[in-house]
Amino acid sequence: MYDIIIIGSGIIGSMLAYELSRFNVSVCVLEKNVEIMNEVSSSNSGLVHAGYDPEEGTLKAKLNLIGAKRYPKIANDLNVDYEQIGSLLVSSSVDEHDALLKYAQRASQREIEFKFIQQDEIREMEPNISDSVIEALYFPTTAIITPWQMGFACMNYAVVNGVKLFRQTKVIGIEKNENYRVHTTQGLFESKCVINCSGLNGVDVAKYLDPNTLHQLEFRKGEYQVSDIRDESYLNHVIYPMPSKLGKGVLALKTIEGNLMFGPTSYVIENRYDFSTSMKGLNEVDSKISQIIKPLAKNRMIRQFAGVRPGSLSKDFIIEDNLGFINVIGIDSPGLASAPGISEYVVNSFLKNYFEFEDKLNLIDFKWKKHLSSDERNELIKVDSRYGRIVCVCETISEKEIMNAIHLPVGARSIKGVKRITRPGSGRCQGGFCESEVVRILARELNVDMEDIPYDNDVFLTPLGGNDETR
Amino acid sequence: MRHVKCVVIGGGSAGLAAAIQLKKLNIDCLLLEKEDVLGGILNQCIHNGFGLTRFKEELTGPSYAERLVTEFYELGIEVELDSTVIRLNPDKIVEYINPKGVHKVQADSIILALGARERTRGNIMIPGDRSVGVWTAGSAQKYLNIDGYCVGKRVFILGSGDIGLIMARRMTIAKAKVVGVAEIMPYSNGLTRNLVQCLYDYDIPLYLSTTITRIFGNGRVESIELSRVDENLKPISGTEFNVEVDTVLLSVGLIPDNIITENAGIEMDPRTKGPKINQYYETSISGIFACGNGLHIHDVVDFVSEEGDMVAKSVDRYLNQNTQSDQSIPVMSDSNFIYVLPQTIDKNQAVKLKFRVRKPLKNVKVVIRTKDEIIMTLPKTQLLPAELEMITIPLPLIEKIQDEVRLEIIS
Repeated sequence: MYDIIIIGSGIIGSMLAYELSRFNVSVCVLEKNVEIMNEVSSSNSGLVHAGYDPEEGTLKAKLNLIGAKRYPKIANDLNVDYEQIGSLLVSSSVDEHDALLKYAQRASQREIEFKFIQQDEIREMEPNISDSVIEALYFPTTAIITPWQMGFACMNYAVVNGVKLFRQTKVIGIEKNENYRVHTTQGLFESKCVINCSGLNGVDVAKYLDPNTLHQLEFRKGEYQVSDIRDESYLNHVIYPMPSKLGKGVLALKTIEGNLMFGPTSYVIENRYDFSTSMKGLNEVDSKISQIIKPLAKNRMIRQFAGVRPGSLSKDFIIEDNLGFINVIGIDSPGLASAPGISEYVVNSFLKNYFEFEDKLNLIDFKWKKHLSSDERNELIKVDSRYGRIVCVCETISEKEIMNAIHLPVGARSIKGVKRITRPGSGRCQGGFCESEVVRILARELNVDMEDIPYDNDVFLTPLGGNDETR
Repeated sequence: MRHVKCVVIGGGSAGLAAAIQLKKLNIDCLLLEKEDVLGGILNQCIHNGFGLTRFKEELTGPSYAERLVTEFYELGIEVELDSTVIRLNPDKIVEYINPKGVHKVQADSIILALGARERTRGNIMIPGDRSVGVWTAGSAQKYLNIDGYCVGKRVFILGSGDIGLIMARRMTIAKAKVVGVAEIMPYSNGLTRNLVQCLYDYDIPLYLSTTITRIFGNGRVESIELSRVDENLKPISGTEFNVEVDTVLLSVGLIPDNIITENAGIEMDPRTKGPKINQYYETSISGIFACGNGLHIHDVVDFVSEEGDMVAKSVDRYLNQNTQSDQSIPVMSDSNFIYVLPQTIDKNQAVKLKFRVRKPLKNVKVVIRTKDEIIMTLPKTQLLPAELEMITIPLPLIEKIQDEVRLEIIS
């Protein structure tokens, strides 16, 4: 019996777990995948938008602002990467001037710092901006984060402070008696309140309790391309084109690690688990990006991926309470930016009606381990020489850092998990050199055969994994 | 800071040969190797065909490596294993990490023997699902030959370069069904002997002018879509066909692995993807040299080692003879060539030019000219992109060279 069950461990579930772990309530998180942060939250732009974009009066507008304000402290408390690199909303024709004015006005009303800048200044800030850009709005507070680092750090903090996480635990039914009874593939869980933040399956989970719910989700796919460029000066800010009814458009940004990332496209899809890329989509990214920045050599691309975003038909987040069953669904963009706003809103506006929240005493600190500098590494090697055995040459990741990723309170169980926590396989060679070594370390640390190490849920090195008796 | 005459980065077939040759020339060096054993990628190449030129016999990869490694250790050359170089600066300070710490060493000279990495799905942008079961051929080779895991049961291979062909045979021997090999070009990019011994002998079909246009499978790879391509290598709509496989191996080219070279500000050649060099294998930074697959991609390991030998002699010249190149004559080529090495020469000694052509050519002449004067003409019955060609310009002819050298192909 728990006070609160959180269904889903994307950025919303993880942030809620983090938030609630600091109070005297008992919380468990149910995650159907082997790793947390695995679906919507794993594949997006990784941006904390400044907040000028959402329509006035929406939850998106309100919660994006709160999220953007809260992130610096959260990032600092958890020691995760957060860089306010600022953004340029660029316009390439005089027709777009009015739109720029509209966003300037919104930014002004929402007390978001901004500045109009003209050609020369734009080029000074961004030498590789497209020649066609004539005017821009500069938002200095736009920040980049690494989504899964943020999510893993939140969930690790939560678990260290008493939250229970159950992975590979898929919800298959919910009923309400005196309490909520949540049936899963791993048995029954009971609680006073349930928070449904199950991303792509938000409406399906809501329907377990209320088959007549009118909520509907529309799934939008966005394709991205990632380059291996580590030239700090190629791009200094996030570059946004003028938004359209399809969303914020195809952006150019650099990630915390220094890669350039371009995307996303925006298409409605039928199958919510369609994370495929297409030639059409990738070409669209190419052509749209070339309208805002000077093109990059094709051979610099190291990866393409697609993310899927569950949007509500009302175009706003759906956050509502039905007698202690709280739906947090339709969290598409700016979901990541809004996550701290959403968690605060859920606690203050709804959960406080059910619980007397008191601060937990003796909270245990949890700090994320950031990428090591040479000096830090040198010190650590004196303690454990495995910090000096580099496994991933592209990203300079040692054996010990991979072991640390596995032995976190919420540690990696799969190759994908290791990659997200500490990055081997994210570089130029895309795992070509280090993958087998990562599998070997996972197998050793988890005491299983290499063939039983998942890449992802139920997918292994060999087609049948450890079940292959013909080998 | 520690000071050494020469740091060799990389203990594969190029670096080992270079270090051995340096020792024979009485130059002490420090060799840095990122793995815990010497030999580099040869260790996973358990097939034979190595060493015909260098050792006059046919060896497996590990045997070839063993010859070099044994000689290396017999000569008492200093080596640091498990040592990954993370930074190189133009003043020839090498920063590396190993289990003993993060180290900096000041070198008088540096030999880059960095090897190559394989092009990946992301590099060639194969669209489709985010499926597990797509590996580079070399990764699959490592899993099979080093770790003992055959990663597929029904396998398709993209690219008919040598590694792809070798892996087609290797996976078949490991009881996988290799359904086919596709090659985007209208000809194979592998050595003829590999085509015969790895595909034809095992009845594995080769699809020319064909490429993978989509990968399907939520979770594991389930099938792939293949398409024929036109003369511009663009997929032809309507020619798609699907093949059910659980694994795709990519053998779509090697790229000289030059992160530290680029970060040091050494001038790169976009055609070779390696550093630009003069005829002494010296890069744009004086005293830093490059050789092997980190310089340009070879077909035969013997020539990789030979470059190691040559570069050691250049280091000797650099350290002991103090003869700086006073000339820098550019080596140009027409569009028939993918690249020609070195990028610049001087007129002080004979020069060995190495080049690759863009497409197969029959009964042509390679012409070397300077300004309007032809200095050499070499008839060739066949030139193939898969085969690295070498031509030496002897000293008397070198003296005729004026401001530039240009390679052309005439029929």
